[in-house]
Amino acid sequence: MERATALRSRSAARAELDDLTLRRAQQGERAALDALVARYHPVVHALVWRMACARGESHVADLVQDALIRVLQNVARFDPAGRARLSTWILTITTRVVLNDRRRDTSRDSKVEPTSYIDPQTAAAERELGAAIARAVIELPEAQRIAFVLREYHDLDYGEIAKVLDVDVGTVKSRLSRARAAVRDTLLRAHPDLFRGAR
Amino acid sequence: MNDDDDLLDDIDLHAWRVPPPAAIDRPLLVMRALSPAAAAAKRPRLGWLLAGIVLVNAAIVALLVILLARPTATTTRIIERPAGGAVDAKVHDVLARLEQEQRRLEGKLSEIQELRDLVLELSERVRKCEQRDAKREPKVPRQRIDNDATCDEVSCVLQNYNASCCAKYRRDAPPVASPSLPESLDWNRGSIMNGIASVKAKVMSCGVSSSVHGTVKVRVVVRPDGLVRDVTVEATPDPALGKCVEAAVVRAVFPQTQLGGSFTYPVVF
Repeated sequence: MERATALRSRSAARAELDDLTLRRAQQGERAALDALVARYHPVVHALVWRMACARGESHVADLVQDALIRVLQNVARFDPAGRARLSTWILTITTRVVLNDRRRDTSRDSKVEPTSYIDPQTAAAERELGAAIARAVIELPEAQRIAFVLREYHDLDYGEIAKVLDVDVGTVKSRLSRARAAVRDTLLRAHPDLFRGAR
Repeated sequence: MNDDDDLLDDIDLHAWRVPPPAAIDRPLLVMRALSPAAAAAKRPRLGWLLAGIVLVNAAIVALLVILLARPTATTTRIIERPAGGAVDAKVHDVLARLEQEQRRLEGKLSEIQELRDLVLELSERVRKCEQRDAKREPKVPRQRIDNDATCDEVSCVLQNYNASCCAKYRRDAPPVASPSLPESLDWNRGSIMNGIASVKAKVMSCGVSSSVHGTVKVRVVVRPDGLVRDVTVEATPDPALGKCVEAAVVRAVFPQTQLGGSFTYPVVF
């Protein structure tokens, strides 16, 4: 219950671009496009990082730029009156960019140890937990990982994830179920004390 | 939202923090996104493909132009002679010999052609001559055989014994009289008995094989050379016995005479 509330509050804080700016961006106005990039750059970066951090920061930066360029080039095609939110549409493009990149070159996978960003202000225990979660998520199969990341870190519901991945909602559910179980098992092996209260 | 959502409820998944994104040059990014060059750069494969197609088409056009521009009416053979060296000299020698051989064969061929024309001309002349002779040549009677040098039995048979010299070869012709022989035989009993004696045994054997008794009377005609020309049974008690006697007597040999002769001889069984 607390988690759902937290999700809603995070979603509210991550509001979509306003309609006027979006319309101007669709008309090619540079300032609006700049604003669009400023608004969604962190989102795109977060998704790419969680999906491809094992490939190195420079590769992540390239993918982020590639995804943002695609967004800017195709923003005029986005339908504001449609069922998809702008953020979902941008995450869809970003997901495609990441998956296409992985299909082109799978040899570079897992060359870099997946890590969590170490905030100097965070406690050591939290840093350790973050690294453990990163390793657990990175170990997931790609199809499960992308569904997990989109659900847990970008607040997409099952239907939106299904559209992004172009699969059935049932497939999304099964993938998420297996992903959560796998992450939980991995974390349980690494940090048994984390689930002591839940058991 | 789902039961599985609770599976990780007690874990703060956002402990996996994402580093702040690196600062990007947003105006530059926007400019790159909006410039057509950037769009073109996104399709390197398509560009290469188009370039390849253009190059292939250009090559095909160039090939067609070259093929169509080639003269087709006249073809010129260029024989490059060897320039030098031992091998080149051999090749040169072989080529020279081949040319000589070719000239020789051409000469032979012309001779053969001339001979062929000559043969044709001669054959034509012969044909014309034959036609002319056939028109005016009457039938020449066969040359008669008159001199003794060419008078043999075969020639006489072919001439149907018409020649005078063929009388001696005629079976029924009168024998040529020999001047050394007597003109006619003196058919006394002795000479007749001598002639019959040569066939006496055969004549008498006819009586052994036949049970008929009696006298068989035969008339014997003798040629000048002594051989029997004809035997006639004048009387016989049995025709078979007469035939047997006739067959035996016809083989008798008598002395030679100029004219031959005849006599009647009875055989008693």
